[in-house]
Amino acid sequence: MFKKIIANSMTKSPWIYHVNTGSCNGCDIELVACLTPRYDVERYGFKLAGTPRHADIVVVSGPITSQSKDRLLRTLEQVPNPHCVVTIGSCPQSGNVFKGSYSVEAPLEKFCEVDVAIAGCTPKPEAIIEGLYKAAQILKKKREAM
Amino acid sequence: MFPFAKKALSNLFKKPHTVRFPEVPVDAKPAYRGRIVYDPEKCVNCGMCIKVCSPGAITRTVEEVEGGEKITYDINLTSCTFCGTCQDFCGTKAISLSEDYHMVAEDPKDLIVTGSRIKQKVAGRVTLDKANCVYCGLCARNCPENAITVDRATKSWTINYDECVQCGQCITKCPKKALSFQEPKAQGVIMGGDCVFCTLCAKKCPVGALTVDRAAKTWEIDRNACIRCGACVSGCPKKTLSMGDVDENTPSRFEKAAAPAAPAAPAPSEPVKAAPAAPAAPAAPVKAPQSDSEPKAEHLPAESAKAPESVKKALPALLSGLIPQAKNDWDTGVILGPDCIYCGMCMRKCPMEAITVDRASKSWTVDREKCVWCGICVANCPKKTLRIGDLDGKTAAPEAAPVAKETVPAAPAPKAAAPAAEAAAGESGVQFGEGCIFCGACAGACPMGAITVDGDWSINRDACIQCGACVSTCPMGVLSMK
Repeated sequence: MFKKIIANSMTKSPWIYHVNTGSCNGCDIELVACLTPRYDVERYGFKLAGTPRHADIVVVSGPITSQSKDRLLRTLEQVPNPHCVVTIGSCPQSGNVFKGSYSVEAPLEKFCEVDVAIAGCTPKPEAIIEGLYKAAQILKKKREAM
Repeated sequence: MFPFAKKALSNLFKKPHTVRFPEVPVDAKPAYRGRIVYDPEKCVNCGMCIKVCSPGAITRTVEEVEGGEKITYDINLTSCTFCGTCQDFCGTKAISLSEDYHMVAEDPKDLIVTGSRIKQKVAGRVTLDKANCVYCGLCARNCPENAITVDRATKSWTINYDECVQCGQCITKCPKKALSFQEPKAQGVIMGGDCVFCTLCAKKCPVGALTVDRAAKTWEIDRNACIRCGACVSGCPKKTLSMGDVDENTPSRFEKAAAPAAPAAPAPSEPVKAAPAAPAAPAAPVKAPQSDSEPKAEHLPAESAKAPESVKKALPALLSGLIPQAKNDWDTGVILGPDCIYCGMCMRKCPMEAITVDRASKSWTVDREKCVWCGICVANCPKKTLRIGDLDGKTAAPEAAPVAKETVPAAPAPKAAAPAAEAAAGESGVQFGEGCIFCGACAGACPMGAITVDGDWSINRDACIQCGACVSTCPMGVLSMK
């Protein structure tokens, strides 16, 4: 019975952990804007977690620079299963204008499975909310599958 | 006392500031740059968007299908910066950024905007009407592939058809409407009219598309057989053949009536050969004409040099079939000047094997039947003593009797003194200077094989005939004649 309660509450409140892997800060600002009263994703239980060990959804922004790659992988290793990986903007998906650079390791798909891709440069906060909502759905499915 | 109390109280009865997004749809602000919309029907496949896209999000694939080519544009939104440059540069407004921001996908492939269409084969290619062109350069500036080059100063307009994608931007942008798509004219060999019917082109032709009849003075090309390889053009000694646009009006047959082609022989004079020999037997060659002023020269001792071994070409068999044997009415030919040293270079270079040079007997003979006065011997004569000129009746007549090949007694070359004198001089002849790179060009050029280049340069002065071929061949200019 406790398990059921826990599962139910976790579905209602997926916690986010945000990793900036060399982003220009545009996507980060929009993600933070989602947490402000104007967009207020906490209405749906989304809440920034202070550590990856508490997170259900990992939000990645930036083109994954060589410097940040190891740190990103270390972060992802600490996230408990089930979890979702969401990319914001073009950078983690393709490298955007930085693709081909000696210090850019994008796409993120080389390192882990990406569940939701939010396109835009940067995406509108509404698009991010949509993406997070979709990630929560996937997370629910994943949890049910476990 | 509580200045904010009023505000707080009033806000209690207001709706929250929060955007109720998922429940209430929110439109993007006007001019928001969202999902790219691509209309393949408007697209002319100019490729400008690909060129201006800084993250390289747009790719184009072209595949041949029946009746044209299928052009597919893939715009990868996961790679796009939504800068809108593609939209700004698109000449036909085929690409535009919409205000749709709902670009969320589980599979990134869903974020690729694709459009394709089948482009019919464009009839023709961009062609300039030079009469209308003002060389403004707008076409070059609007060409997405930089295929057009316009130079206002020299009034030149060139297009690289390999680069051209036939987008038609230049045609649209041309202020004078001087550009248009035109069916390209087929390329083919064009006869310039300076033909001497030497048959060299026919022999060079790898597919046998050319028929040259020396007797009838006709040149004919089978345009269906011609593969436009250009072998005849490069082989033409008169440089009268060229490669160019041909259509159904371009003559594939060239005929010269009575008047010979070369301006050197303006009058349709009587046949040079007096004797109409029997068709079976080759007509006797004319003795090499020499100017009347030339004094006869005494023969040099035969042992002074050996006759050069001529490099035989595998042509005679072909020749016999192509060249008329019966009659020679040519009144132009190669004429020997007084400076001949009988080096044999002309004999070796003659494509028709018409010249025979015998150093031993100091004879120079030309077979007028074979000679086509192509001028190759003249160009290769190291002493520049050969020329192409009129064979007037006087030149030809006395020797015209159909006897055996007659030899010309050696013209007294001024330098052709007794070999003893040369030997006495010792070092006279070719002089070797500083700067030799030992390339061996001189050794190859020497008709006598007198020069040896093998890390060192040496000359056999006994064999040297001082023709000067090595001097003119030397790429470094280190050889000289003393």
